[in-house]
Amino acid sequence: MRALSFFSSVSARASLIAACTLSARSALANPMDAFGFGSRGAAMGNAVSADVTDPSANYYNPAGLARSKPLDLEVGYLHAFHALELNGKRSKVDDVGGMVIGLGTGGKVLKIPFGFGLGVHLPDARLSRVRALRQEEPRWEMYDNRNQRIYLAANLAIAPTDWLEIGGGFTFMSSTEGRLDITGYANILDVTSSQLRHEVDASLTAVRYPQIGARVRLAKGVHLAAVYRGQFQLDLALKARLYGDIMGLTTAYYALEATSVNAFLPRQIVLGASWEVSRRLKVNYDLTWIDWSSYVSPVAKLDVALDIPTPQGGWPGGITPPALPAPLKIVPLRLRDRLVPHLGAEWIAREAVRYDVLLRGGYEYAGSPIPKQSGSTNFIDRDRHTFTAGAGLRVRPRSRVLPKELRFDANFGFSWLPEGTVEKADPSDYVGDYTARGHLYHFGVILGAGFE
Amino acid sequence: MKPIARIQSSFSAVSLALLLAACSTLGTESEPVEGLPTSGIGPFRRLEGMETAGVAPFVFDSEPARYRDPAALPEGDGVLLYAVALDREVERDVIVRTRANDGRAFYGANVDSGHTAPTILRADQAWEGENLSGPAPLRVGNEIWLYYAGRDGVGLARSKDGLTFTKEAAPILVAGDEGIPSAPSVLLREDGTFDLLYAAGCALYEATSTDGVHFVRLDPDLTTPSLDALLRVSAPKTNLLPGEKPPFDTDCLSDPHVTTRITPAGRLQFRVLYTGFASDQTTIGFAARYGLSGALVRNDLPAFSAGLHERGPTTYERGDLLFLYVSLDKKGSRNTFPTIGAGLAPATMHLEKPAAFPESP
Repeated sequence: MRALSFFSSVSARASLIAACTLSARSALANPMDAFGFGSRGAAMGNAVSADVTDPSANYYNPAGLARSKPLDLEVGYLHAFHALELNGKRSKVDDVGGMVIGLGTGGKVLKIPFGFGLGVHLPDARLSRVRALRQEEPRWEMYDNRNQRIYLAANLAIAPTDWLEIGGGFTFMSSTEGRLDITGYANILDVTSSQLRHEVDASLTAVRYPQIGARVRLAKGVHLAAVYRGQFQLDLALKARLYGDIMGLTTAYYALEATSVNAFLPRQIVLGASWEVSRRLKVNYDLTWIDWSSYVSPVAKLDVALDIPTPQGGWPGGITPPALPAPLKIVPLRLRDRLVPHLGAEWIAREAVRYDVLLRGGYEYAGSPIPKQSGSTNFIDRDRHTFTAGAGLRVRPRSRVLPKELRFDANFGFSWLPEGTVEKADPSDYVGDYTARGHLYHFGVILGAGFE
Repeated sequence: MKPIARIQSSFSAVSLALLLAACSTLGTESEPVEGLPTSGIGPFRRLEGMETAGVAPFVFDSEPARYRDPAALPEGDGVLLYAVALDREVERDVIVRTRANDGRAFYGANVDSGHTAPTILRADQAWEGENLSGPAPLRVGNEIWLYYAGRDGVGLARSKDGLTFTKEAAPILVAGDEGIPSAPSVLLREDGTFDLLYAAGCALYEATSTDGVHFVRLDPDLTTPSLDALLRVSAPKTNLLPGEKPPFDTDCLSDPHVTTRITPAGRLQFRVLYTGFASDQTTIGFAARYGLSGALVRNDLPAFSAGLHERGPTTYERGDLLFLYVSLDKKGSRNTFPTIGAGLAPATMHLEKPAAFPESP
């Protein structure tokens, strides 16, 4: 029973991170897309691609790392609550929570500003979750499974001129493969006398996708940015094999192989602008194009083999051998591409010699890419309006022991998913009509330390 | 302090913060997603293990009485069940009544020793023949109306207490072009109209009435001259894929059980469970329509399939749970005999042990 102990052990977390850096395939979905990375960007509606030089640049725009401090560390925590409802009843979609760790380090190579960074989201509940559902079963497709992930990004950046920064790197995610073998002797009439051996083997393997970004200074206080994030999918492969003797009458062989895409992250292109309206006020705007039309349905494809020869003399009375499961016709899921606007502002509310107080706010609108579910599938989603706010404290200690700059940032976000109604075309659909709506709440806190 | 020492001390502080954060969060198991939308009519699983007072999924069984054809009627916090039973003294099928406070422990069941479900209706009219079947109770004002099937059609009996009934002298629906009506299921709409579904000639039909006594047949397709059925048997399917199951209702349909609801989208959903026959198997199917009139659309997947010759569905809604009662075959001392078993929806829900048996039927 390797799988359970593997997943639950603390040492496995370290092993997984190490494994992620050593092997790679294609890549998946992550909580950063839903709730942002770090407190500053999340408080500004995630509109910071042209205005980020702290370790959160690892997610928003790796080019910003070229202007990183010699050493910049961030440690924080993110938590998001799902208050999603179907027909007025809470859907009990698991919360998302975890530690956020960021690292940025800058310097000069051949007189060219150079930066390196790492960004990590380490979930506190699970490293990765696998949930394979029937395509008819209602699920909040964008929230239920996609955000239960570990996230690790590593980036490099340079500033070849004083008006240009470019950077790029990889984000690493985890894919799941599992195998279940059952062999032995089965007594159908007396289950307790059956002797079956079970073997479970599951592993998390790394997948990765690239991200690149550029930031241009147009004029004093005006920056433009462009970011590309690659597409990746998290594959789930489960194999089960049952082989054994049935009461000395016959042998049974059953093999099942299920393959599915447990999560899929479409490629994204972000265009951003930042304008320093005054010395104390900054306004940012990002527009993200998301290639949802490439989305791959998460429904599992099953390949089943069953061989149970009829015993000599036929089956004993009352025993009916199992039959092959009915073949599954997967209904294609065709999502629509979306443009997601983000708006953010930061105001230095108070400036002092040793500290600054900053207030932030933002808004983003994410239209649902999922079409009306009037057929047999039930991939549920709603448009999302997110309002964000936050505050920051920048302290410049006089102490020689403490870093040059200490940052305390906190953010809060509220997402409103307006109610919508799904009407089923088939009156005999077992799920039937339903309404869907909800709210999301997320908060984060970050402690940052910048060294000169 | 030297820069290296500053960095070391800062790393120590950050490491301590990491450690504290790590200690403050622990892994949790995923909860199954709950509160999922449903049409409220299945699919059902059969009751298992300790979920019934006797042997699951049977809830109202007796080898001599051969209980079958259940019809549920909510009362207070529990449910009344009208069913067909064999009167051993006269070897005739009669209608009995029982009760369960929790939907599972029925008065007079095999394990409820010392109690017997009382007979509330027996054949004594010429048109009824010798046996009664298909009870369908309905609460109308302060009375319980019990529709039932006899030899020549569907009859009606009325009662103040649900135990002592007075019959209409004549059947309320007799044979037409479609055949002899049987297995009635009646619905009282909010506007006071009665909807009667019945089986005839291996198909399901509908009739309507303003007083519950005088019914007029409804034709779901007025473009054809003859009376059309609400639902007919499925066409046999050839060229099945490996593992693909053939339709479960290619031979005959019977035992409609009708309920309605207003969907969250505000539409009237007219829902019918029925018995489908194919070869020597029976299965409970589900068909429905939106609105007050028109033919039914079937779901290709069964609502309940237990492999126990299940037939004659009826339902009882209890909070978020929906109990399904059906006739099932049970192995007896010599032969199999009919009895009444139960299913449950949502199928993911599990029940505690049943309550005590009631003191009266």
